[in-house]
Formats: sequence, structure tokens, C-alpha cells
Amino acid sequence: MTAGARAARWLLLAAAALWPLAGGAAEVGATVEEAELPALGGGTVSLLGRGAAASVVVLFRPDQENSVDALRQLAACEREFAGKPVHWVAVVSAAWPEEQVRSAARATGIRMPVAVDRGDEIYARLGARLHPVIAVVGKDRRLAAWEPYRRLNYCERVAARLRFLLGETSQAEMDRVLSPPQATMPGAEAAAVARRDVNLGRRQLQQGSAEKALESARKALARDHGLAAAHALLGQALAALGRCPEALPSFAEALRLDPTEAAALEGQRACAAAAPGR
Amino acid sequence: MPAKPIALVASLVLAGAVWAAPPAKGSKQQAKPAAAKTAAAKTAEKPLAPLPADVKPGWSHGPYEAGDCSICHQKNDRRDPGPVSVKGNDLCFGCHEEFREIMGRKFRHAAATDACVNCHNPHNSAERKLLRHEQTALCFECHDDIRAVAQNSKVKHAALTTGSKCAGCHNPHAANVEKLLVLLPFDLCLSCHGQEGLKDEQGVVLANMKRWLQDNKVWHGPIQGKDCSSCHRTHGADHFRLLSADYPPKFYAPYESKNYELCFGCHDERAMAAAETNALTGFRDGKRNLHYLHVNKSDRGRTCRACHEVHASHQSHHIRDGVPYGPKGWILKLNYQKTANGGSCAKTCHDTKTYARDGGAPGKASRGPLPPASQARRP
Repeated sequence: MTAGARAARWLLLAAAALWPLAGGAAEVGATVEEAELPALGGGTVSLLGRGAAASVVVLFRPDQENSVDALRQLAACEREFAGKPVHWVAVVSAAWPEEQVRSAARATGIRMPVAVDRGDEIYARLGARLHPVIAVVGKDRRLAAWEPYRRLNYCERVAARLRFLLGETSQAEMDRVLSPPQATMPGAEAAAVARRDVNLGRRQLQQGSAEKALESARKALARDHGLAAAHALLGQALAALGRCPEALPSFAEALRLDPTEAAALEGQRACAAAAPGR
Repeated sequence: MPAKPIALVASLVLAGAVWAAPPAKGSKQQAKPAAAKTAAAKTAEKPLAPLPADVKPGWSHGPYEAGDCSICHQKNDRRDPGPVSVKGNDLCFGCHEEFREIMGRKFRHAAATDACVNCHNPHNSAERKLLRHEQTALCFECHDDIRAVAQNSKVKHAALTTGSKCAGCHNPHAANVEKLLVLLPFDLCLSCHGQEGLKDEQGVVLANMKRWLQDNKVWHGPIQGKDCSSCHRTHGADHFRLLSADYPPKFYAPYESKNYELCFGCHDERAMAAAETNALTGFRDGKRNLHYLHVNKSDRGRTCRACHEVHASHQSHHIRDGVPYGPKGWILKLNYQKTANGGSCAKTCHDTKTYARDGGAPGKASRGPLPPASQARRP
């Protein structure tokens, strides 16, 4: 940082000292006042979007790895909401040299305007203590959420909040993104392995290996006796071996467990059609 | 087989057949396309033939073991089975149907989306789950950046080499959290760091974080956000406790912003560097910045840990219950009292002192006596 820039920074800090401030961050539900801020490169930019269903205010620093990463993640989010009534603005302290801010913003790929926070007015007004941090504000100008930086799922979280504010998703759907369910590893559960046996048995049956299909059905039932498809497969294999009288109880059991079990219904019909005297 | 049963089989199988489904909408690949290409290239380098006859496999695929080549191939001939009957993962999903749902999760592993056989040998293997190689080695075939971190970092994470290794934290198929994490970082970390007696590689007993967090209800932001990875590098790091950047390990340290790189990754350095402020910190008496006063000293500057518990504490602003004193580390209570407009610390490091942001009286204390000191080891 040059001596001039350093001097400017401290002057701005002195200006910040004149701004009144409460003790902590604005609480969720609090009203956020609109403000017109100088935009990087000239003109002004609104803190909140007029008519926007939601506003995303990103407080960042250009010299900081987490801020740069956050902006990169948000660039993807921005693209996802292109054309929707969402107002995006990145807010940076005027203490930073303009060129440094411009360079950081360019490197992240964000399209949102960058507002310059003179005297850290917005920083103080929102009671923000961290960078980067995002304030998500609803149409009613109430603070819907603070989203402090996260290395993972940051865009996911912001997007979930925006979709909720836009009325695209329910509270439950948003909560599912904010607290994602465990991604379990597959295959260890007996029921899953039983279904796999059934699928293998179907392939074996398809290839004319009814004896092997019978074996697969029995393995499946040993793992999960309540699996309707396994009873149906057992019936199918027996029927394929010409043992319809033995197959029928299996079809019946499959249909007792699942009245819509298609293979069992078809098996019953086929066995009935193949019965002597028809 | 009589003609009638054959026709019967065909109709029954058609009724029960389950095959391919397209990937779910909105899914994201969790590796760069180049990585998937690399995985495919690696597979091409090493054909998927069964292990040589003189090598005893640890695990065999059911159809291969049963000699049912035609379950997957066009011919039922071990010596000449011909090409597979269905191209791509749909062949596998025909039996392993649960993967249709799994691969519908938001974040998918590019190598898995590309081909199951990038990681699995469809015939047999010396490894569990028919993996083509030992799990970590297999992952590192593509993720050589992680291999470099794991091998070259000064501080290692035992999670990479024990238990389920990579799969302890990542789902190699698909997940609901970025980086294919099985759960959010916090939930994952506590699954190991929520037990007593866990030790680091030097044998130092680590805190039971679950207990500490249960006993201390004022949580640091990244913990509230379930993002341990904001401060810790889970594959390996050059800073103690796998921290991502410099953080003073001692009570005193000369003030230099580089020493606090970890904290300044989120907190504003100016809150320590500016002697006066009305905006940068709430810990000020009028404009007099009390963070600056405590920390910004060229000799015995108080480090963050002198006053704050970085994970959680009983008190607002993560203020510690007390500070260690003397060679035996006696804990002297800080007795911090928060008020609407400031606060006070009892006579411990100095005489009782109060502060008020508006420069007036600090107002009435807003906190009662501290709860009993936690029995849990400090993290």
C-alpha cells in the first residue's frame, strides 16, 4: 500500500469514528435502511434493490483469501439467478485502493456492482464484524439472514435462502439445503443386497437360467423375507421350471406384501393360462 | 426347456425389468472434467481383466464367481465373453439399483458418473468393494494435489490413514455437500473429535469437542456455521492443529498482523491496528480501541487466546472464564460482565475496569454468575 493510500485509509477511519454504532450485528428480522452508495468506477448504487424480491449484500475485503473465495462462489450463484428479481451488491470499505478492489472483483468473475462504503458507514450500520459476510434482505427490507463465510456450500446456502424468498421453495426444502442429510454409503444393508439379488435373478431368468434365478431368489429371501419382489422372482423361477403349483403361493405372498407387484400379477395370469384344461 | 415356460419367462422378465434412468436435474459434478478424463485414461491404462489365476482374490463379483459372464457380456464364454451387453453405468445399475438414487444427489463424483469401472474391477480384486487398488492410492491416482498436501504437510491428519480413510469423510459416488462430504464438516469432525482420549500424532490428548461444545453454549461463528474447514485444513497443514494460517500458540506475542493471519481471514485487522474507532469493534471505551490497547504491543501483546476461547465459551464474545497463571497454570477468573453499552473485567490481570461505547457509564451488567467450570479439557 502506498503512503498516500495509507493516509487516505486512516482519514477514512477517522471519519468512521464519527458514526454512531450499536454494540452488535443487526438481528435477523431488523429493518435494513436503504442507502445510495458511490459505485466503484463512478455513479451510485443502491444497497437494496427497488422492487427486488430479495437483496444480497456482500461485505468483503479485496486483500483476503476468504473474501476472494466467497466472491468466486457467489459469481456462480449470480449466474443461477440471472433474470430473477434479486439485487446483488458487493460492499467494500473506501479504505482500500480502488485499483486493488477492481482487480480483486475482476478476478472472481462477479457481475454485481461494487459499492464503496465511505467511512465504513454500512459496516457500522449493520454491525458487521467479519469479512466476508452476506446479509440477505427480503422484499420487506427485513434482514432475512446473515451468512458468514463458509468454504463449503456457501453458494448453496445463499441460493436456498433466495429461492425461499422468491417463493420457489418451501421452508422445509430450504432447511434441507441448510442442513443436508447424510450421504450414506450404499450396499451394506441387507434389504439393498436383497434387491440386488432380485435384479440379478431377473437377468438370469431373462437368459433362460431359471435354476440360477431360483437360487438368487432364495438368497434374496434369506436376506429380506419381506421383499415382495423376491417372492415374485421365486414364483417366476419356479414357473419357468414348469412348477406353477409351487409358484402360485409365492405370487400370492408377493401380492399380499405388495398388491401392485407387477411380476406376481403377470405370473399368476401366466400360470393360470398354462394350467391343464385351459 | 419346454416352449411354454420360455414364453412365460419372457413375459415375466419384461414385466419385472428395471433399467436406465437419466441423471437427476440440477446435479453438479464434483471434479473437474479433466479429472474424469484422467480417471478414464487411468482405467484404459489398466484393463479390467480378472486377476491372474495364480493370485487369490479377496473379493469376487457374484456373476463372475458363478461363471455367469452373460449377465454382463454378450457371450457366456469365460475365454471369449465378447463386449458388454449394455454400455456404461446402466449395466451396473441393472442390479445395483440403489445407485440410481445415490447418483441423483446434488454433488456427484465425475469419475463415478463417467464409469463405475474407473474405480471398481467388475470381476475380482484383492481390495474390498472390488476396488482396483488400495483405496487411498486409488483416490490419489487422480487427486494428486491432495496426495501432495497429505505427504508434504508438517502436520498430518490421522483420518487420512486410519479407519475408512478417504471414505470416512467423502462419499466417492455422490453427496449432498460440496467436496462429496458425507455430512457438513462439523458433524463429520465431531464423529471422531467427539470422543475421549483421541490423540494427535505426538500423543497429545485432544479435547472432546462434542463435550466442550455441549458445556459452552456461546459458539464461534464457523462452529455455528458447521464449517470447521474455515480454520482447519483437513488433509494436512503446516500450522499446529491443522490450522490454515498463523495463529499465536502462546498467551503473549509481539503484535504483528502476520501472526494473526488465521483470525484476520474473517475479522478485520483494523480492529486491532486502529488506536481509535467508532466502527471497527465493540470493545472500546468511547473511541478508545481496547483491542488495540491489549493486543497491539511490541513486546507482551496479549494474543487472541489470552481473552477468547476460539471454539466456544460461557460468555458473550467468546470470552474465557479465566486465564492461566503461574507454572501450574492456575485459572484466575476474568469475571467478565457484559452490559448494554459495554462491560467490565474483574481484578485479575489488572484492577477492575469498565468500558462504555458511548463514553459514559457502562450500564447494568446483563449476566449473572458463571455456570460451574467445565470439566472438559480445553481445546
